[in-house]
Amino acid sequence: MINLLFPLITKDIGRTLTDEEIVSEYLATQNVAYFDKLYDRYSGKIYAKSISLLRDEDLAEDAVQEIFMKILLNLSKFSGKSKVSTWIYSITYNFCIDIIRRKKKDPSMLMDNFSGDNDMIDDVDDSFLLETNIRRLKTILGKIPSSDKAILLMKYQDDMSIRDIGSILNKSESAIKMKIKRAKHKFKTIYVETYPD
Amino acid sequence: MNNFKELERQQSEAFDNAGNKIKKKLNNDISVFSFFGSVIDLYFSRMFNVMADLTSNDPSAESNKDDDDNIDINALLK
Repeated sequence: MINLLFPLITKDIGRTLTDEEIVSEYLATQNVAYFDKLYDRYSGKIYAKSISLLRDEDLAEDAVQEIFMKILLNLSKFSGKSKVSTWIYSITYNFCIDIIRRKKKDPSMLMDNFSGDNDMIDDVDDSFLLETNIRRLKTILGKIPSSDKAILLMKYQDDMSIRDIGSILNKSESAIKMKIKRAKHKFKTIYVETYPD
Repeated sequence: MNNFKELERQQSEAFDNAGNKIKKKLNNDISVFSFFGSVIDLYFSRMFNVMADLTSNDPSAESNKDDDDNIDINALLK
């Protein structure tokens, strides 16, 4: 039925296209196959971020569906100023942060208290976080406040620049640098408390 | 070694089954949107023309329309 109505859906996309090419082809042709391609590339990653932030499988699955609807409805507004992946992740983080705020699951998402932290020394090496074994990493991320977790995921999982993180969270670059320091410090503190050996 | 990325990879793999279900749902939603989009494209432009004809005071447009109707009826009668 769908194929009769929309014959282009079944058109094969042979060569590997960049994300930007997929988006522009989708906008030009409205061929759903291009949107499917975007889904195949990003649904798993969006789910991984959603489950890390929301800590609930059902919520995370619903989030994936709603985030893709948002992507679909806003694709024509994508300006190309950032990478497609950054744009998709920004929708993902903002969606999850909104859910957490609405459910008031995590009060850390409701405040921006930088007071007293401005002189914090960045004494936690990146390698400490990056080389934490998977099982322990999962445990620590489960305990860390969502705002800190989101920052760490953006920096270490998505390799986002300070500028990109700032534009997603609507904060200045210096505020983001401070948030990263604080999140790393929090990570180490919880790690040491959880694994005192 | 970046274990943040490895964790993401493992969590992504766990999503495969649910992912296919969600993909089907999304495709259905897109089909519904496309269908209503096509309906609006097809009929709103025609409705707009009809409304424009009705509100215009151009008698020649009316008579042309009548002529068109007669031709169609005659053709059908033959």
